[in-house]
Amino acid sequence: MDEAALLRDAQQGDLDAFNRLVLAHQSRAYALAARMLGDSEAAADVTQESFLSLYRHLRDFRGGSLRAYIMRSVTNACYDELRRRKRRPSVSLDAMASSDGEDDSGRAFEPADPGETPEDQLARGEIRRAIEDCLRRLTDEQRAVVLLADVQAMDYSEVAAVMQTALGTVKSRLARARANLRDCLALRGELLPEAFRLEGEPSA
Amino acid sequence: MKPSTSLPAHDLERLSAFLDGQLSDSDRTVLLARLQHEAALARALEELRRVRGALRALPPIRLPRNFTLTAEMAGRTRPRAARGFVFAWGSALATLALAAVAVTDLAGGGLMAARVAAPAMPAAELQMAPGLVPAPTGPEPRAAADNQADQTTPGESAAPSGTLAGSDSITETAGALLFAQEKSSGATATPAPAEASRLGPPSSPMPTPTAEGEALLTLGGGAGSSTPTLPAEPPRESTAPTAVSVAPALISPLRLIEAGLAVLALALAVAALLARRVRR
Repeated sequence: MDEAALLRDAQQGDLDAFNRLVLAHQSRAYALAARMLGDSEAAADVTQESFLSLYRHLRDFRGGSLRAYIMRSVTNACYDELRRRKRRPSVSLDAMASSDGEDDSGRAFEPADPGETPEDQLARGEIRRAIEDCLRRLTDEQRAVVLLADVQAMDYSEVAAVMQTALGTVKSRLARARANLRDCLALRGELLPEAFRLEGEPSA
Repeated sequence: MKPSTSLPAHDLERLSAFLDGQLSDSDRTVLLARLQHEAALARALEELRRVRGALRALPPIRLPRNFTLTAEMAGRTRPRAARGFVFAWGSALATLALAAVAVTDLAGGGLMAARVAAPAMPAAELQMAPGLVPAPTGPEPRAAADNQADQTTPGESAAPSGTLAGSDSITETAGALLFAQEKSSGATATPAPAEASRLGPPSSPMPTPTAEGEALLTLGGGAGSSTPTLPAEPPRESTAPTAVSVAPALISPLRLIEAGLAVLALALAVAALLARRVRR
């Protein structure tokens, strides 16, 4: 059954149809919340609350991208949570990393090579930690836009719909976020494998 | 090397949009021409490409659990919302009712007090009649009655000072008190002098002789006193039951309603807050 039909049934109170929609989108929703918040428990709470809120207000949904609608709900809930607690993450994202190959979007996140050496795995872990650390140093808006556009592979118009902002704002925020990440990763260049090492050091 | 963040903002945006295929054809043509000649621009593009590649290479995050809704979760969303709504409105209505009752109470306060005090009088009279018969049993009750009497009427409060002034004053004061008693108790006061003269001596012993006690001793001994002045005692006792019988009537029903409404409004407000918190 396609998403439109499930949505129609869910809007008429079919909980099974709604839960099938949840299963289709929960990985993206939780991944966005986890990387926005850097806290697995808070991310789970925010994700659950977002789906509960979606169920309550499903009749208000007037078409468009359901994925964008869900991501907007999650993003706004993350902003609220970040405003509520201005503290450092209590649980590292390392603990949440999975060795599974794909998310529910069907897009591969570079599955681990079966022939990968322990050194390669270590290097991969270093890259991930470096990127996640640099992501945390971005502003909330820059982090959201880079997670939606680069990690979740949304196009600009969809990101604009999620963030409820103009397309031009998405472009400029994304460019600034990528540039900041580039500078942050360049500072860690020696730690990264050659393939990810950025040339040159940023001037102070 | 120039850090990419030091590039002009419009160049950064063009490079970023170029990576995502979001440039218009004309902008794309111009940028491609510049990339042929500007090495820094080409390097920055390559760096941004690597950053994007690293982000896309992030491993997925393992789900801690499924986020599907149970029938209970789905079912309790709306009733809880409705319950919070009912609590909030109930609290508001209780507050309004409290305000209305309070205004009514304030506006009619004097009238109410008068209504409450008026029916208390016959009750006082009923309790006063037996008060004439029994003798005071000890010094404390009488002392308490004295205190009450001192605070009730000026005529009665003058009694102790009158007893100190002299027997003439005592006679006048006792006469005034007798008159007051006759007025208030009617026929029941008639045997009072005889009763009082009989009961006078037992009531007189005081552990610590006060001025009033001395006066009573004088009166009880009857030395040179032919006038029935002893009934000064019963009126003092009669005023005490009057005060006691009126006191409970001062808690008017309106006050009880106000207190009830205040408690109700507070409880509903707390319930509404709790319902909202649970919903979050």
